[in-house]
Amino acid sequence: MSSHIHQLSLTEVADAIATGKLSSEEVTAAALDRLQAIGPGLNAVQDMDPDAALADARQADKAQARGDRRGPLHGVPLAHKDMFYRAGRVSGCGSKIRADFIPDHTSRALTGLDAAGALDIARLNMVEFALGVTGHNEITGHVRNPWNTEYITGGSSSGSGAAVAARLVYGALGSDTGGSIRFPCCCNGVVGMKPTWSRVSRYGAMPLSKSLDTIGPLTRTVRDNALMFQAIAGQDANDPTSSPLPVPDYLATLSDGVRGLRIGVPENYFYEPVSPEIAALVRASLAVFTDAGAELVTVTLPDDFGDTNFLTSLITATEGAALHQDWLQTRFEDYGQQTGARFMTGLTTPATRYIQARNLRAPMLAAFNEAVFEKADVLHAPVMISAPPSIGESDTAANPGFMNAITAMGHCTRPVNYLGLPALTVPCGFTDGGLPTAFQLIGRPFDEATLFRAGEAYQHDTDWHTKSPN
Amino acid sequence: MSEQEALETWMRRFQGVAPKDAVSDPSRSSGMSDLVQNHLADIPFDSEHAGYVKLLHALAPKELNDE
Repeated sequence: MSSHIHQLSLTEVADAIATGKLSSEEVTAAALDRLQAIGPGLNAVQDMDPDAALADARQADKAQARGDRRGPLHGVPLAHKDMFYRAGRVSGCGSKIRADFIPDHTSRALTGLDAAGALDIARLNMVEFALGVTGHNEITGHVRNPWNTEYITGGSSSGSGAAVAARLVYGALGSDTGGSIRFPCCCNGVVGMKPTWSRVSRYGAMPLSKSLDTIGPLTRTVRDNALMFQAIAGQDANDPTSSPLPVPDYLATLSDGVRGLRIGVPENYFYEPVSPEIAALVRASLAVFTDAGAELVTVTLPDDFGDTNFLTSLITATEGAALHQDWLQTRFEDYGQQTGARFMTGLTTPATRYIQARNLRAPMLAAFNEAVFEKADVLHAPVMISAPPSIGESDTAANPGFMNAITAMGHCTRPVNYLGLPALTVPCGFTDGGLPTAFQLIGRPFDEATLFRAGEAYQHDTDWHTKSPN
Repeated sequence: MSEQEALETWMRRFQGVAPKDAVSDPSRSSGMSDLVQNHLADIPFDSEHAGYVKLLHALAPKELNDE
């Protein structure tokens, strides 16, 4: 089994450790080998401490030997986007400005995984301050797609997507303000949960836009994702915006299937700019659901639904600029060129427009709910409008003309952040160029359980999630 | 004074930054400002962002709100 440890899913490796078929030390050593051998070629790893990771693994093994398992992720090595604070450890946020930042507290998402027994063995590269959708980073270098290293990983959770797809670790945390979990999942062929706004505490996670920021796992399978998500969801006194609603047992309903589930298929907006190749791959996934007993329902989105895309950008730019204003004034030269310019744009937003953009969320959510969720239980949609571009063609420092295309990339993702809804990204095939693509399932607020159930049903009847890059 | 010069002056005076060529095109913000303008009638007079949070929870699965 040891030669194939890296091919196991998170669920499988957790079971193997729990039953004594593998030790945490064996699994962690295998992950460290791959992080060191493959990680640099992908530029996925920001930093790691192999000796500390192995020491933690041995501690986990000793604890299990004395009957002291911490939780369902006991001894499983994970690594996370370099924006989740751990007290006493650098959290660089993909930046020069925070390259030496050592927080004095640990993020709630990490303490949740710690409590479940997981190991945290590396910091993964990311887009500078999480502001960008392609995975480019002028400061720490561009992360490369393991399916073809000339192509983008998507961002901003670029290292998380690449590391999970390349079988370097079994799961990774990311964040999603406008698509930053969903893009890397789509480009790299892995599963990602962008949760309902406020479902996961943002305490100790680098902020970009608090009105929109969400935290979720990237994993190889839907079941793995539910397992990780269970450990991080829930109210937290340190994040007053976190929801008090109870957290359901996501694994309890995971295998209930989709018979009778009403899946909404949008007849307007989502597919309008999507390339024929991507549209065909995404639409083909619908047949899997109908074969499993789901019902397809055509839904018509409100005429002004597309405005939510731009309202997301307005809020992100404005809140980001407010957070970064001191550094924009004093350390502008330390930002990557595109990052500083984009934050600067938010300084021009009139305060009244920002307040109005936030106050529009309730009527926009009500209209969307009436149009979609009075007819369907989930909405099925593309994630990206085209196949992932190459790193070269989408580098706006060298090719400024590509900026419009990058802005258009958020067409299918940003509206979901504006409304605050959960969305599960699930791989559904490969382009002619051999790169993955995916669909997203968008759910009612706090109904991540239905998304996991539908995603699990899809993966039960397909094998896209079993394919890995060479 | 050109629109660009006016913007740069405003940025220096009220935001404390000298944009150089960094904010060469404020159209993104101004375009989005126009977009919000078109929605003003959709925003109830007595609205606040907390109303959105309340609605988000009200639309959650019934079993979560019942617990």
